[in-house]
Amino acid sequence: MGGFEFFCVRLKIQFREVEHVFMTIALPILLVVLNGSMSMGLQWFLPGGITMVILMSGFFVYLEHIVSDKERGIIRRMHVVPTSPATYMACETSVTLLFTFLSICILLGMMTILSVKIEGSVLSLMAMIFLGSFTFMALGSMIAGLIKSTGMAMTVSMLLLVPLMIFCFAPLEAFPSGFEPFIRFLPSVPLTEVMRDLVMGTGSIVDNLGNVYVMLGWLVGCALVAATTFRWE
Amino acid sequence: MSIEDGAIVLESVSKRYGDVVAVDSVSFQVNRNEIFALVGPNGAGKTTTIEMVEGLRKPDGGTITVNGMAPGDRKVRELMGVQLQDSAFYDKARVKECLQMFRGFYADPLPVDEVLKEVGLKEKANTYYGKLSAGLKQRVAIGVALSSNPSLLFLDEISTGLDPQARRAMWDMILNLKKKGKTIFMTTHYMEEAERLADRVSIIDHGKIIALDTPKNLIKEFGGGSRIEYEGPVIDVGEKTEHLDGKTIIYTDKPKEAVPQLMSEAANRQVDLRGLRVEEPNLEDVFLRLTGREMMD
Repeated sequence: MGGFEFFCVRLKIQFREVEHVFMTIALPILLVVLNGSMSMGLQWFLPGGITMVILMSGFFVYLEHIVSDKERGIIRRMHVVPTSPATYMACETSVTLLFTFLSICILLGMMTILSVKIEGSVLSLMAMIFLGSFTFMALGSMIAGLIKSTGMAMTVSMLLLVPLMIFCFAPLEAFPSGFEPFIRFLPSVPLTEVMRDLVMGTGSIVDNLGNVYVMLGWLVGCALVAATTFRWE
Repeated sequence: MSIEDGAIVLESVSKRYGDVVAVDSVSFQVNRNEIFALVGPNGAGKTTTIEMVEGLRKPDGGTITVNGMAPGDRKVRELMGVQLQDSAFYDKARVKECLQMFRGFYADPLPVDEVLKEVGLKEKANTYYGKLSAGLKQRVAIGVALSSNPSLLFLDEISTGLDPQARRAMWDMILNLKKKGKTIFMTTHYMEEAERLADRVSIIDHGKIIALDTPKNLIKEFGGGSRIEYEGPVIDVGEKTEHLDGKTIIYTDKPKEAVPQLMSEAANRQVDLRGLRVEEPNLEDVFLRLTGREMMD
């Protein structure tokens, strides 16, 4: 009960932030439809759209919330109420997960209207969405922990966001072969590749264990760095 | 009052930041159902002190107890309502939502409507926090502190940034809270605020407590008596007198005798006492006498 009212208000605020709603819901839909109509079809670009939703919600918006909440003293306030700052993180994580899932549902709803099907396992897709969400939230937490200045943290997040977004949609073949080993280790790429196999029915999670391990590596690595560097104020 | 009446007790508390001693062996207690003001200029150590009591900072020396328990203890946090200096809430949260956010963490919070009424924000319940004026935002901050139905209220520079009218409204609210049995520990750099609100005042400067008593006693002991000021030449009425830049100041403990004597002498000499006024000493004068300098506002 303690964190539930905090969670509810936080979720309402999330939906009132128009710019975040646009970036997390409208923009991925637009990019999937635009790219899909020009080449390769909507089904091919849908996984990139899902990755972009997770990236926007789980990384960019999540990081921005933590950073601005630090500035506002919201996190600090958790030290004077009978709870722990971990409750704040749990609420913020829950809000982000729920917002991510709702955004993806809207994206999938649009795609259903446009007759795009998910050929593979929906449960596996959900599992990857979870993994992706936690991975990008860990990345956001790591940046919030490493970079104390809020302005610098947002600048770094924007610099990271651009390449991560590009590789949501751009086929790897479009890049020089020498870059491929590095590109494959960016967290958005393995996530998109696994989800593409699931959406198009060309593979399963088991067939993509290499990609899953890359994601887990990012998750564990970022979480460890965040745990040691994050300061509540 | 005995130490058992102390809701908050500080004994020889110190806090350093590198070479800077922010709080230097401070001792005092805040008694139950009183308004206790810690007053001093910016940088004196007020916020550091109150935040150590709230459990936000750890002292480097000394002991602090709140209701007999250590600051930061979960049971202590249940009793506390805290208005943090420089804290804010979400711009896109409605006022009532700001009050809702944290009340769920407490065992017995007040209903939101009751808190809205208490802080005079009933009509603004559905207004976004980002659209409020500075004065109303401070009311939200107090409302959030009250939501937990605390017995101990911590107010850190509650009037900063408020216009005089908003400040006075805030004072009325705080006095009302005291009538309801709250114990209030506040910090301020407005001497007038401390004088009007506090049952006891502790003056802190450069991390040290330099005086502690009721405002009335502090003024009586350190205030230096009344001041009669006018623009004109010195007229001797047998009291200590200063003359600077055309202004004459007479210090007296008996203004009711000194003023008629002054006016009589002025009439005899046909001297015009321009801008004649009598000023009673206040805590600003106490601070000036104790430190040799004025409070910077």
